[in-house]
Amino acid sequence: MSERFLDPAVLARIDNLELLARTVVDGFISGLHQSPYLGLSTDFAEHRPYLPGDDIRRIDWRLWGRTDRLYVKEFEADTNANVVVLLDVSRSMAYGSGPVTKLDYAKFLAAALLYLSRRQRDRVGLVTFDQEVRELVPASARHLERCLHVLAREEARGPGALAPPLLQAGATLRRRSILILLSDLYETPESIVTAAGALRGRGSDVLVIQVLDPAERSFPFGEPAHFEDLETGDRIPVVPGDQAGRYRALMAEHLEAVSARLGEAGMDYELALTDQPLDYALFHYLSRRQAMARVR
Amino acid sequence: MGLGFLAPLFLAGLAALAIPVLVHLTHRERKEPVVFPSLMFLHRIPFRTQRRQRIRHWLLFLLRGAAVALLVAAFARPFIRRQVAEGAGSSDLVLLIDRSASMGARGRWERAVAAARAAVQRAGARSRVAVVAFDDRAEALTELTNDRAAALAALAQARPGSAAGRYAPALQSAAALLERANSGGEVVLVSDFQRAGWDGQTAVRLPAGVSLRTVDVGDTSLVNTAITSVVLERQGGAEPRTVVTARLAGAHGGAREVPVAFALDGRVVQTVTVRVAPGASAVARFAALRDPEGIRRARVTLPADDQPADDTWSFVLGPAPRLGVLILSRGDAPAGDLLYLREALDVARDPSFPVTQRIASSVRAADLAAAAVVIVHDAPFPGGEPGRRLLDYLRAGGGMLVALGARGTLPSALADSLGTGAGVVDRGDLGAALAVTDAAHPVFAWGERADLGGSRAFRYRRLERARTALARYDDGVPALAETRLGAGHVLVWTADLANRWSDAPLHPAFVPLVHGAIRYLARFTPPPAARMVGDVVELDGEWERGRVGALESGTVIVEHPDGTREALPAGGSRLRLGERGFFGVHGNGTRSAALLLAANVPPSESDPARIVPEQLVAAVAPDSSAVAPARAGMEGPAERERDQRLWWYLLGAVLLLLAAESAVAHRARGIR
Repeated sequence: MSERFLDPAVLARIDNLELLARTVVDGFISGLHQSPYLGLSTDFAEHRPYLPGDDIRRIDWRLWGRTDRLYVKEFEADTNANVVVLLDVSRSMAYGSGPVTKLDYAKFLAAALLYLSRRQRDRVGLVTFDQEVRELVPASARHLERCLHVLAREEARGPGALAPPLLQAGATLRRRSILILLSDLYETPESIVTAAGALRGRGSDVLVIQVLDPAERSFPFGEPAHFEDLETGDRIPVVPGDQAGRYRALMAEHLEAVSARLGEAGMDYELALTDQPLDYALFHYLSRRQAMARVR
Repeated sequence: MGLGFLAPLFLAGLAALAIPVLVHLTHRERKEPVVFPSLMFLHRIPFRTQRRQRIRHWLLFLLRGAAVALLVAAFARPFIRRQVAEGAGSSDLVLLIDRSASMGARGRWERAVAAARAAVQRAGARSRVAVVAFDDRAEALTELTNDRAAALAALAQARPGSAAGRYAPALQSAAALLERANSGGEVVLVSDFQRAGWDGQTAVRLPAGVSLRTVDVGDTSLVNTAITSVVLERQGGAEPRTVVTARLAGAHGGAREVPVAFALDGRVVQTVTVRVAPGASAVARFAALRDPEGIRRARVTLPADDQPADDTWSFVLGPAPRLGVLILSRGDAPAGDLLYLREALDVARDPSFPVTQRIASSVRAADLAAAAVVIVHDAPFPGGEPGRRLLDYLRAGGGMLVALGARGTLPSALADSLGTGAGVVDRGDLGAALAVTDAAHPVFAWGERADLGGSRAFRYRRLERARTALARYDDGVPALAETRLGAGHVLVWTADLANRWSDAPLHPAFVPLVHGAIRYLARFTPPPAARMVGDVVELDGEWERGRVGALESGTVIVEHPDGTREALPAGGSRLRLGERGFFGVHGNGTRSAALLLAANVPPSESDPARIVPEQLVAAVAPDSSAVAPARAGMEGPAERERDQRLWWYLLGAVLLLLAAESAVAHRARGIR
């Protein structure tokens, strides 16, 4: 059941991003109960009073026996962190060969990540950009609804660029954060690493999720036609029968280079295809979050 | 076997093969652009325009080219030229040639003989050939023989006849010939393939290893008007007259005015002109003619057309048949007692019922000899000599209707089966209803409305032992009972026929009931004015029906329409009417015909509806040994075209190719 709710084609029917995020995350979490990812850390940090809604498994029953009050244990990973999603809303993100465009998919993913983070009591923020920052929601424990609202409103428009908006966004960060960049990354690997590297200024962790449509990778076109660039409007004649193979090779080479260069620069990289369930990216994020918690 | 084309000019359409070549070479781009997120990588790939001058998608190209080629071939109407292979083998050949009346149509017989001769001549040197001519019967003109000359001579002597054509006897005959020879072979059927010749019900199968080839010599362009029947309508009066009505059918040709002549003994007595439209029927009605004294030869004739066999209808015209009725009543019967009965008898026309009335107790032998039926009305059955005469008359096969009424009695010879009828049932003023209990009895078959269900009976006699009641009153007492005495039939009406005990005589059904009873008791069947060629007549029965007295002992002479004479035994002979015209039958030594029979071409021979030869081939073929019908070399393009089926298959193949092309093209086009 949870897998069905993680299918982007199914999620596209849900209008409300919050509901969508809750659906995704709850389904995802319920699927995790039997997985080794349960619990982010076992390092005890402190006690805090029990609040309705807390998991009763985390109540310290021995302390209750001594004090007759309910306390829950807090661990290192449960402490607040800033999680900021940087979403590329340039015109190229409007492409979709199936029922879901790249921007739709990225929005679903962003909403799910923000909701998941908020469940873990992280502060959440959002930056949308094309060739400059368009919307910026600072990280805050109360900003989930606002982020979701901005997400729901965003539409793809304008040409895109990575370096200027990311530099601008990086400057607004005042503390170490987990930064999740969602983009189709149509730039050279060097430019991408340079742009993403600007985010690491305060020791933030950067997770780059490249969102692509399956057709961008497999190039399944057969009929000769003029191809038009979504962002620039340029047109060139293309005979797919002749050029498809070369295109696929170039794309594979690009993806490999991006992954390798980001890794070398200490940033995580994940490729998300819009026909894949969201849990691939969520898993990656969680594992990244776990690693970060251990560092603290 | 080779391939030919009915419309070879269409093959020029093969130039259209250039179309798929051009399509594949030019291969125009889609007009609307394909939007794509980024052309970053595509910009890096060199675009080689020279590639576009080569044919890509070879499978698509071949599919399209094949579709165009097959379409062109289909329009060129290909057919398989069969080099008839019978000359090459040693299998036997049975040649069935249709000689039914329809084969006498203009040019048809000549084509049939030519095709048959060709088939015989093409037969292999070691093959034996049998020639069978058929109409409604099959006649082997030659047995299986290597003598080609004999087969050809038999064909030369054969002529179309006047009988109906039937394929089943001919095919059975061919099957029997080949089975007897215990050899495989071929049956060649040369015919015009009239639908009437094959009912599809007869189970005929050729032996294994025998194939049937059909040669269709029929055509649909004949101008023909046929006489399909003649009806005689009798009129009464002091001078009995007859109205002759001929029914015509227009088969082909445009509507036309047709003069229809009516001749008596070879002399035209009347002519009327009738307009006949194709596919429609018309009626030629002649003015009433006084009935001739004796039997006469009558003919209705049309001007000769493409099918002359059905332009003449022969029939026998004579006075209406008469069935003498002897009414026996009481001497003290009230005046008008027999009014209703006599009126009912007097109105009969075909046959008429001349009535003789006698006192029951004084019936004479001469009265009985002239009577076909005796009616005893409300009178005691006579005793003594008259009674004995009546019983003898019955035992010898006479018919008697007894209306018991108040005074009637039954003889003890009938009392055993019916009872005495002594008891009287009085139903008062309300009366009893009557219902027919045996509606299928011939008494009721004569009249369409011979049902007295609306009449009321106030009194009637009770027959205690009547086992066969044709009608009963509502209390179950028989109203009309039947019994037999010797060879004679007796009907007993338990009321009277004088509108005293029963109001049945006032009922409209009374007349047909009385007529039906007389006809039944006299065992009357109307002598047909005309018969069909192929009918078989039992001379004894016809003689008796013709009321020309008993057949003489010894032999009778039958004079055929063509003037030939044939001697047949007088008793038990059967005569097949094998040709159209008049057959005269008379005793040996007498000159004038005592019995005259007219035979005509069956109307089915004028029916232009045809059977598809393949249907016949499929029906009789043993397994898959039948082959497709071949055409006579002389056949015209229209006929040849009818059997060219290849183009259907080609069109089917084109459709399949186009479907495959769509699927392949869809795959090749990919995601737009």
